[in-house]
Amino acid sequence: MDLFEKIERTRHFGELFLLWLWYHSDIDDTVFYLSDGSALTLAIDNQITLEAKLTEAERTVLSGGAPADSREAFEALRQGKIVSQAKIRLQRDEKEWVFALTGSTLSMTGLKIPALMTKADDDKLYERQALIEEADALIRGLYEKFLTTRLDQEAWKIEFANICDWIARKASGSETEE
Amino acid sequence: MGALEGSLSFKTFHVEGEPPNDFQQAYLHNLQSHFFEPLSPVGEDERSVGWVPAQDPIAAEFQRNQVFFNQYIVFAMRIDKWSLPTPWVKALTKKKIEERLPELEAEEAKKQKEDGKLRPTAKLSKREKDKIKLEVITEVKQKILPTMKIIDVVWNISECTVRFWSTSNAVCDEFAELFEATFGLTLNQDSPFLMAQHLGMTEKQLDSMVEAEPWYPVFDEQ
Repeated sequence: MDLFEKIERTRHFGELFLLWLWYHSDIDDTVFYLSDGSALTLAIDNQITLEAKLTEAERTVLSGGAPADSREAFEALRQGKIVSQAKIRLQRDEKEWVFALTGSTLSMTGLKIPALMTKADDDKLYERQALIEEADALIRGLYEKFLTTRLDQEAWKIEFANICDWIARKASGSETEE
Repeated sequence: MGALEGSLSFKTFHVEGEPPNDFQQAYLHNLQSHFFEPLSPVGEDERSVGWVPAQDPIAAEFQRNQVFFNQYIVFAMRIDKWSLPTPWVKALTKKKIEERLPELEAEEAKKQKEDGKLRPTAKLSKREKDKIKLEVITEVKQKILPTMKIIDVVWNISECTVRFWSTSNAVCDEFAELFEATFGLTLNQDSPFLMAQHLGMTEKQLDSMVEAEPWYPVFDEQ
């Protein structure tokens, strides 16, 4: 199998990663720990796009307010829609990034970075790149954590069952979390 | 735009292949040899694509200090395109054709007088009309500037990643082709698989990713 085929066959990992981020952001109160032990907070912001895999035209875009808490979003998940894009709010230390993350490519669009401290062009370039790379590294760190669970069959079975329970609970409107 | 200011929507590519030891010298030369060539009003090209300095997209060449910033190589892809004002081209062509008709009628009348043969009403052939339209287009191009699009490129040489400030698939494909032609290095757009590979996942883990079937939550109909 060539690289192109491998890339195409594994795009669903990105979509599942978005669902995993949403799930943990909700149940862990937006706090995530990376493999080096450092913490960050991640929340689904004001836009989420859900798509039916079988009928491509069926797309639900929920925006404004807190779409990740809406019953409509969970109902879409319950109907088998996948998360194709989500707007993410990421915070670490005093810094905050906001961007849309696309599942199939794991690319960021409309990235808003923390305010720059420097004025000179060269320094601005370094600071902007460093802030972009920091956001990128945080997402990679979270993706690594997700993959560790996803590629461990036993761990993933438990995780996935929990995700399905969470969706069912939220879609029915019954908040039974402890 | 994007490397220094403005919107932050980009695609990340992974560079396959190692840069040479004297990469600054070599890459500056490569960039210069694929430098953007401006469109000419009398030329046949409708579009031109090439590299320019990100800080000065109308410069005539690259300066080393515009390109190399520690681990970063910064430049931009410039795309110029003629965007003709169609209503003007139509109106001017129609006017030129109308101006040409009396001349043609006079020529036909002169011929008829000479040989006495009756001729149908004078009209321009399609070829003549096309020729007039081309003349008009050339005149219009001399009065306007092509549209210019500048898309920044930031190549982190130590991480082997390139950020390209466009999310259009067609433009990204064109960028990857020009990059490969310029540097002889292949670009692969970031994806869940490549991200896993660059995170250092083992071959076994990568194989299980490829073999894995998609997991989508499934619920019994209630």
